[in-house]
Amino acid sequence: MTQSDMKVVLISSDDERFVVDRKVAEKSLMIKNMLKHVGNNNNDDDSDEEEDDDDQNSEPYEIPISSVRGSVMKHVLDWCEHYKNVDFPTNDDGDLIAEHPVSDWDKEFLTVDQEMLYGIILAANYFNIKPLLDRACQQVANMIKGKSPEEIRKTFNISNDFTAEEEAAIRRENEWAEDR
Amino acid sequence: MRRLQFIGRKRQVQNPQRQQPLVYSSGHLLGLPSELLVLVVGKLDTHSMITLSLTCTTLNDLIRKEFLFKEVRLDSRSNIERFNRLLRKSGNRIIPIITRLVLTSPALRMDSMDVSMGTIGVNYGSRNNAIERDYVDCLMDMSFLPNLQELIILDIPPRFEFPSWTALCKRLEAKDRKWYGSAREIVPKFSVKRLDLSSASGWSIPLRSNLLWTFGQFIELRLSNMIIDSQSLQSTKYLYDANSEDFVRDDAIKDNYASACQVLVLSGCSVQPGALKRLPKYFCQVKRLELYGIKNLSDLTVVTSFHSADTILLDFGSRVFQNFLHKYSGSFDGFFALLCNFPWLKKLELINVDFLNMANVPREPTNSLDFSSYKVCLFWFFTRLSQLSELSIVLTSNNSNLIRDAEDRDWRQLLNPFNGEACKVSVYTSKGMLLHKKI
Repeated sequence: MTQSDMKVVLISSDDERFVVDRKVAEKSLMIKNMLKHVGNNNNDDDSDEEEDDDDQNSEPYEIPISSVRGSVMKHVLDWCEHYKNVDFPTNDDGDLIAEHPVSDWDKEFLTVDQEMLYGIILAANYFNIKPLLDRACQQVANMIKGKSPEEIRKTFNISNDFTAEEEAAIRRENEWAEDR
Repeated sequence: MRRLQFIGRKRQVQNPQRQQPLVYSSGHLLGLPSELLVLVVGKLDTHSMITLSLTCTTLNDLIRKEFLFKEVRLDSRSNIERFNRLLRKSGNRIIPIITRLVLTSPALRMDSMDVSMGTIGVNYGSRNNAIERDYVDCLMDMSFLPNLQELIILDIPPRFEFPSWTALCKRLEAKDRKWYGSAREIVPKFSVKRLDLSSASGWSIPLRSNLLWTFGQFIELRLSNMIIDSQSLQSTKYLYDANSEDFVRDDAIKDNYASACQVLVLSGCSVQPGALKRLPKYFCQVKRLELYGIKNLSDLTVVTSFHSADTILLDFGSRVFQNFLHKYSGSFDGFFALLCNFPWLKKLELINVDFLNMANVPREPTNSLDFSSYKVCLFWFFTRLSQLSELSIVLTSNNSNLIRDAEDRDWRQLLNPFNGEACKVSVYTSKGMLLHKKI
């Protein structure tokens, strides 16, 4: 069995099991780093994982992910599957070099209720999937743009905790930043 | 079945409810931790940010702190006046969040009390003079900012100076803060953490002490495109004032005035021989010295003036280091031999290194006078460096790609002269990712 068709089992917080190709799971830099020393030749003597049985690599690894629930995990893994053959150009730190316009597929993919969208943001951050995090944040930003404060409050169910005077003062103060 | 427990370091985002435990659930925008909210807000233009800030206090606080007032940039007179008005009106809400202030092109003045900047020529009218007065007044107002960490003054024109009657931060805060000025015992408290001064583009203005005394004490000083010469650290009285707890009391230690600055960063600065006498005394507390944009060898040798600098950073992207290995025997061998034998130097950091790749494995010389090829020079260079206790190398971004996939044995071969020496070596990509570590 080669490294590429190795399977990884991710277990969500609600104990749902997701069996995926290593390649798909490695869209997550967090998982990629975890698996760095697994299944690569033999020079992994300095890895942190237990290495007592090197020839049992055919057994899939189980990785419990206690902070992501199954419904969100499914979504995130769908994204990873869709982009498994796409390389996102990153610098040495794993930050995206260029910002990608959100593709139609992404738009469709991210058209979910807000709870799911924030779940995806949290999971993408946890898994360290920069392109997904970037797109999901962009999606939220798009929901904010072009709206009045009242419309934003409505969209995001934010309650206004300013007094009228405060709001006027803040408007005046923050405008300083706009046309300086 | 094997179980691979997640043992990596925890990412910050474990508990989304942490920020607003009572009000917002994880399904709510404000249930996101603030570092992720910052990513979302960062996708907005300023206008949208301001609109969003009007929705509630949580978002307003975050947007002001992380965006609108994160860095206050004042680049014109009208700008400064407006900002001053804002401070007067709503100071108590704005003042605490300002941590970084950037002033560009400070105005010129004519009525200088100490004529220490010797540039001759241009006659500025009285109008400019008035602007200058406002400018300094406004700086005085701003020195009340209690959480100011960084003060950056860009584009300082030739002849600019702060008048000696402004001890700005120092004078205004002297009651609350203490400065000690004896060279032996410096227990400073700081007016700002970082002071950053740079010349107007196209100019290299000489550093004058009025640019320093004005701000009391600071931990870090960055100078860009300036000339440090024999007069740079003179005008003893004012420098002494800035460094002393109170006004001058003990004439005997007047000559020992020293800065409490611990980090000195020189970028594109040239140091004239006349300055070398005062530098070691004034900067006797400098622990970390960084040199960028080094133009020629004499600017490089300034490192010998810092006798407490246990960490030195050299920018190998500098002009002086072009064709480094080819010029090594003629220009650099003696310098690095000297540098690496400084008893106080613990760590050398080389950045923008472009000559390190797997094709350049150092070749052992046939005898001690052999500098016949650049690979031999690399061997000598590494041999010098192996006398240090610690070395870190940061590659240029071009280089990083060539070398990223190197294996351990390639590294051992490349860093051969370090084998068996106590020197710790680490090599990083241009973005700080560790490529190799030798303990």
